[in-house]
Amino acid sequence: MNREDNVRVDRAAAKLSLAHIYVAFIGFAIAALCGLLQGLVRGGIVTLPKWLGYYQLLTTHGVMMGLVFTTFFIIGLFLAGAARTSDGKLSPAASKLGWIGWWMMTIGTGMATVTILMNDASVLYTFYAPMKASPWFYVGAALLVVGSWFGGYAIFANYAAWKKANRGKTSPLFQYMAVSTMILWQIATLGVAVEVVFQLIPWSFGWVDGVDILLSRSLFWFFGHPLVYFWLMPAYAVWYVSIPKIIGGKVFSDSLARTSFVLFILLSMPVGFHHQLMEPGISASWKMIHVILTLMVVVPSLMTAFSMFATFETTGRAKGAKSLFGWFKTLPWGDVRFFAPFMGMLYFIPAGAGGIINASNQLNQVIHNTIWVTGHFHLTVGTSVALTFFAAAYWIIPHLTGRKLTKTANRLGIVQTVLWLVGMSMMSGAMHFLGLQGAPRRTDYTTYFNDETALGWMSYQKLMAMGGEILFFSSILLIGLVVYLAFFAPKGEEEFPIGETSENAEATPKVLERWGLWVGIAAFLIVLAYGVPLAQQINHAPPASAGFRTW
Amino acid sequence: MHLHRYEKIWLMLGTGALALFIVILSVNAFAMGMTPPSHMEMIDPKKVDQTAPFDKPGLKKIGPNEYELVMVSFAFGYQPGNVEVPKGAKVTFITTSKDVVHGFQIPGTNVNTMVLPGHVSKITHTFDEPGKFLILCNEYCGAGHQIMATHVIVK
Amino acid sequence: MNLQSQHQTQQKVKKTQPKTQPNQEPSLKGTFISVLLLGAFIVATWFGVFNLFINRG
Repeated sequence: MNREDNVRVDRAAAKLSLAHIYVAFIGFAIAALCGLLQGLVRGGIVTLPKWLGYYQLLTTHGVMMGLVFTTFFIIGLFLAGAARTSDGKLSPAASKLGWIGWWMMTIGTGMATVTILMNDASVLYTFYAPMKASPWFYVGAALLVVGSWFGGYAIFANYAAWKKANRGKTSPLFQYMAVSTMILWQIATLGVAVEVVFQLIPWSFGWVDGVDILLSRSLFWFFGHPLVYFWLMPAYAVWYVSIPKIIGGKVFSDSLARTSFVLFILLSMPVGFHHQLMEPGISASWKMIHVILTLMVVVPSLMTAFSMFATFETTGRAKGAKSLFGWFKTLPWGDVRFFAPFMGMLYFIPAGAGGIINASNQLNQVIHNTIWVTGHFHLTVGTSVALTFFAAAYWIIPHLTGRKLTKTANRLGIVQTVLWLVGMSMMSGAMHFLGLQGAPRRTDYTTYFNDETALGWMSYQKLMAMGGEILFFSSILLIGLVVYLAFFAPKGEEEFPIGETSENAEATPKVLERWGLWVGIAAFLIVLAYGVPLAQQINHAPPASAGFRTW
Repeated sequence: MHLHRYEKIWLMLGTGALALFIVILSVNAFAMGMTPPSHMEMIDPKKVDQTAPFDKPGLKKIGPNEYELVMVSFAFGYQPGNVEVPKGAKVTFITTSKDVVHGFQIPGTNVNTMVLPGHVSKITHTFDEPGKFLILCNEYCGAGHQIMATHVIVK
Repeated sequence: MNLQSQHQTQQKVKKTQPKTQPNQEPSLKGTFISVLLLGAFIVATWFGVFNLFINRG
């Protein structure tokens, strides 16, 4: 333990970070309840009361899990980590920007939530036109997105302040990763911002008559794919930076870690058509180009897999482990801060494999819009990312509130993780299997008028419901632990683990911090992948569509 | 930047596998005609019922055992529904939406396409086996999404 | 320039620190096997779904 390990995030930064984390878990709790009900309904176990719609629940679940829990937690995590690696403080500018962002995001979330509760926005978190929600839903969504930009500006400001105070030094790995992620986010959200601000808001207020559907979808999915990297990169940051410290080792390769993040900036965005492979109006050639670029973005994840195993092996061997896999036993399995993210890493294997299949052009026809897709993202964001975020919360919350992650809380955290894995394996496993048989996603309980095929799906839908019930128990335990660690755990010092690079590591190439260069290349690739097809969509559009309220 | 020998090999194998996938997919798509449904024809979404071929939806024989099945997708059904075709029929489904975005999928087959207002979707399938095949909407379209379905009956 | 000389000094310090095997690569056999298994899983599942697609077509 050296002096660096004892750095504590100060009260001001802690307050800002916790504000984000608390909203994140409030959103999570609401979403978890919705998820339970959805599973029970599709399993034929529960019928909803007349005043509650399945698609309202589904919209809430998607928005709260995929946009609110994630965005708020990610910014909270980054702010805490930025402070932690800047002698415990955020720069004054960062703090101001961070609060502006939090207010905008929270107000926006509130607005959107009200419209969903009033059943004026049962359009799911993808809000596809020409289903037309209340304009206040879109305004709320816009506020949430623009607010998150300010979270990014806070991270940039803190990073700039650090660089100014530490001229010539390589930036802390955690802040580098936070900056890369928020750069990605800023560029990615431009697509959905244009869609919402220039298409959907004017249309839903009635200032404009029609909407170009294909264009709105292309803009959304320009955003929708890098969205998943916005979720993944913070988890990777925890894996690269904190996990080595937790297991008593060093960061395997600072340069490779930063390189993987640069590759994400370059390759996460020119790929959105792989979410639109079954759509008319986009040529097979452009779809294939996006598919090729998509398969290229698999590479930084392959690099990360290697780095993770290498971290475990080198740490284990340094502790004396000899055989091929002897280092495995040296890992701290009883420490939830390691166990949960490790299981997240393990589950990323089927998660990533499924993702590669989804993106594989014509193979998408087998599973598009089936419940397989739902199974897939419950593994990626719902397990790999979620378990990592839960583990991070288990140390960050006490670190920020001046309490300790007690032995009991740690043990309960392990129980929570195991429950999550059991429930998710059941639910996601059933979803993958059913999806291959063609069962659709985003669909209320139905037998399609006692159709034989659909009836054959029922037993697996009951399995999904059971998995969902177990996940719900895990969620209750999680929320209980969060509340305990925030308000009731004994006072003390909880470390915010930040790994060091090994002494043998070579210096990190300075080119990795030439942000202008990387953003420039990213912009070039985006123009390459989207320039022509978007221009074609704008210039050769069918007559615009009116809005519909089909719920 | 230094890469461990094993990492170099791993990344080469990894990118090699991805390249193999790309080659297989490209050959299968472009040389064997298995590209995903990417029809480029457009239509006025407000005038579907008056625009050919949707002004006369239904089954049309175009060859010895080859058909075109023109269907209109709408919230919440397909018109016409429960169409019968003989075993071995090669059917090209042609559809568009009168309102919101729908899906058109036959579980257990590769028939899976999006139906966008303003665009015409086309997808072909040969029904080698007899049976009652479910066509369902797999894109959320509103309160009745879960009953939006029909059948193709293959005799 | 200040940055460059700082950088060079950093590198120099690293090289003069005595280490038992400064130029040998760490043993990463276990890592290699693990990622190969991961790769095999990706390839196997991909061909599984590819087969399904071809057979349904």
